[in-house]
Amino acid sequence: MTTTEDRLREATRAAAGTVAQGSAPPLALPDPPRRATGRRPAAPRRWAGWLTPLAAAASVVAVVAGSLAAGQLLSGAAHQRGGSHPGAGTPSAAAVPMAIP
Amino acid sequence: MDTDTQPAAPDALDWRGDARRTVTSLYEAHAVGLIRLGVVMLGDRAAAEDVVQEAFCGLYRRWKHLSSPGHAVPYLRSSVMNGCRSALRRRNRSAGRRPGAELETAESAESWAVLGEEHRDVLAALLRLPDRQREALVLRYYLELAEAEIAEAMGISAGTVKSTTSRALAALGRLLEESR
Repeated sequence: MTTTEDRLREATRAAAGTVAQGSAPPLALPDPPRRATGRRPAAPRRWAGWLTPLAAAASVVAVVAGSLAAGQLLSGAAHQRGGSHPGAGTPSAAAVPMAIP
Repeated sequence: MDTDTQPAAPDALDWRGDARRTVTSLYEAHAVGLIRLGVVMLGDRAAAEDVVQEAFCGLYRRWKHLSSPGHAVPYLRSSVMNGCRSALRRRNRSAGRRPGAELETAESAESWAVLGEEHRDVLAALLRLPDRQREALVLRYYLELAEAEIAEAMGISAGTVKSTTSRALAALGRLLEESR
């Protein structure tokens, strides 16, 4: 009587026998791995995610601060001009209160 | 025993120096044996060739991590077994997990069509076993590997190989009885 082991051996060998010797297709290897340059690979840029919004916020702060500083400088210069010529106030400074009903 | 999958050639070469040449020479020596293993596992020559090709590409990519040339063939054998397992799962998924889908696959297996009914019944029953049991039986009764080699190929202990093989053989016997 044929055992299960024998039947298994015969069946697997018969299946394997369907592949003829020397019938393997040519091997297609991928491109050669890059040669190491001795440098450590670059660390992942963890800061890249939050740097853009931070830079945008810093730009807004710089613009606002610059505007305020410029405003103060201009108004300082206007006070100085007003102080040196009494009675010659800036036209806008004189006009604004008068325009309100 | 299929000697095509036994370790050989690379020991004589400057094995770490020229990965492409060494892997190619390993392919020339072992490809047919590994394709045969794939055909036994899958019943599909084209799928078996794909699995073997991928196994050699994987070996080539990991070549510098190989601790010794003697590990190349066991690595390839494990890769082919893993590749066959994945291919069978993909095939079963695409068959819609229908009951008996493995049996239909076995009956329609192109490479097994030329075999007699007796052999096809055994191979169909083999396909219906769980992955681990099928692999243990193929490594033991087709490749005739020792328990330690099977343990290495499957990544399990020698004791587990023994019990898995025993359970698998009993399950195969039952399936063959049922199919009579």
